[in-house]
Amino acid sequence: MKCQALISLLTVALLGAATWRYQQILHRREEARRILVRSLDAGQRVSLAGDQRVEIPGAPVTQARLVQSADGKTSIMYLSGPCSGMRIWDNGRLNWRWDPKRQVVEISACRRRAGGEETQGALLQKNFTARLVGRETVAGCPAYVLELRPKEVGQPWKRLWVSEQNYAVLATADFGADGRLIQSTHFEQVSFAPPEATQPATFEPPIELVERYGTAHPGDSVSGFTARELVDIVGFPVRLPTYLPSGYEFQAGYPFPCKCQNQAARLHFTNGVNTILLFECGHNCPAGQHCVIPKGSNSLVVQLRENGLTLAATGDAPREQLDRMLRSAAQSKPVASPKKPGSPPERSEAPDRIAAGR
Amino acid sequence: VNELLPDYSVELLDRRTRAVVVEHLETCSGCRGELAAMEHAMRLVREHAGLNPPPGLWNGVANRLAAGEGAEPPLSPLRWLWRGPWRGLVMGGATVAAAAWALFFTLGPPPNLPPPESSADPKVMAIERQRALASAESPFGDRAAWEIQLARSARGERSTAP
Repeated sequence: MKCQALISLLTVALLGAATWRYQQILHRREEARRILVRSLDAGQRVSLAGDQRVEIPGAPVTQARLVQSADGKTSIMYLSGPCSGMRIWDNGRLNWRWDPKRQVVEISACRRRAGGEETQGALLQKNFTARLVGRETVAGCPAYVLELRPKEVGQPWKRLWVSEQNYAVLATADFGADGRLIQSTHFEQVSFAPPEATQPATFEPPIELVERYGTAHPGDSVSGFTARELVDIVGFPVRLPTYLPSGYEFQAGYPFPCKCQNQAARLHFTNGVNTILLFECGHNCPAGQHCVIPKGSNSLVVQLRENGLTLAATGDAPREQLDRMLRSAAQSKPVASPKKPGSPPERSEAPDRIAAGR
Repeated sequence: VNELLPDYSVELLDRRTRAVVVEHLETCSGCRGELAAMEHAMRLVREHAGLNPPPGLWNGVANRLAAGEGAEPPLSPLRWLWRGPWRGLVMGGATVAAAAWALFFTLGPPPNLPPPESSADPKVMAIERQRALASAESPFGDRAAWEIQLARSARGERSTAP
């Protein structure tokens, strides 16, 4: 009788402990989700300035001075490392990239201006589990340490250090599916609401620099289209892959100038954190000679030529998955046929318009 | 401007274009270096253009070419290599190559060979550029790091993107 009572007592105690632990895990998960949502929202609207340290394995350490306004304008000045002297200005409408080594100011439209931030935020929460793994201090600021782990194994993941004070991201580290560090950035010193973050001049380059060295890059278009709309723009039947790595969704399609003097298609897929880009050229251009698709294989860009299509894919997915994605695209049904077959449109003049500031 | 430098160095440009080049040279050390090299070459031409060849040299060369006299029968590449001072070099080279071949197969390949590198193909760079652009401005995108990748692909350097 005594023994039975003891066993019952032990069972109840164990059940109680398990329930308490379960509640604790639920609470931490809920707290992590709350921090993530706040960071995606309020954290992106924190004005700050500080010195960042960027580490990429196999490359020299880089230090950069970053200024960010409350509405997302950004200025980066590289102070050391291989990109020393490089400047980035982002006024929310245009990006300017000054590379003193090449003596070029590259001008492109802001990508986030094209929208899709909300969709990406929702995808992020759908495909990733936020875990609160601790609390640390970054640049003198107490920060939550969050891990964004993919719900589907075998995908890259992220660790974020989020300010406890205002939910700004103070450090990030990107890891591959195998846990290998890909790149990391953290503030060595940071100040919030600095005066320079309110001055428009901080986020735009000197006009003389743009006039002398400004140039736009073909193919940097930010006007996204559906796959159906893209068919008429590029002048060949675009195909979407029937296989996508888990969690990925089609974001938008863009025209992309191909060396064969026609427009190719650049299709973007995202899972909220990571990106995959698929390039298609259906103008029967000889692969590797005139087409944007590269000749020769390497670990970064996977390519395929099938059914009159020249395809290439790159992004945050294992090579096998990119390969499978390409094959499924080559064998899938075209989303539509162009209205005027055989008369592809002229090359986009958008880069020239951007360069001219129009 | 780079393409205008040869004409600039021999003063063939019109006044307006010349002013553009002069202005560019004030700020571009690369072009200044290129111009200095061109001027050095032109100086050499000027210095040595004054030397006169011995009388009858040109006629002698032209006559021999026309007659085909004194021309030796062409040798096979192997025979050419085996002649005079080349013999020692060929023997030495063959010995070194044999030793390297033997060492390679005895020791085997070095452990943990690095993965294949990204080529500096401009088309690959164009693709990598688009990826960096897309990642730099995504939510929680590590902007400062992706901008470095972007600059590397623009410069035609090896990307460290995964």
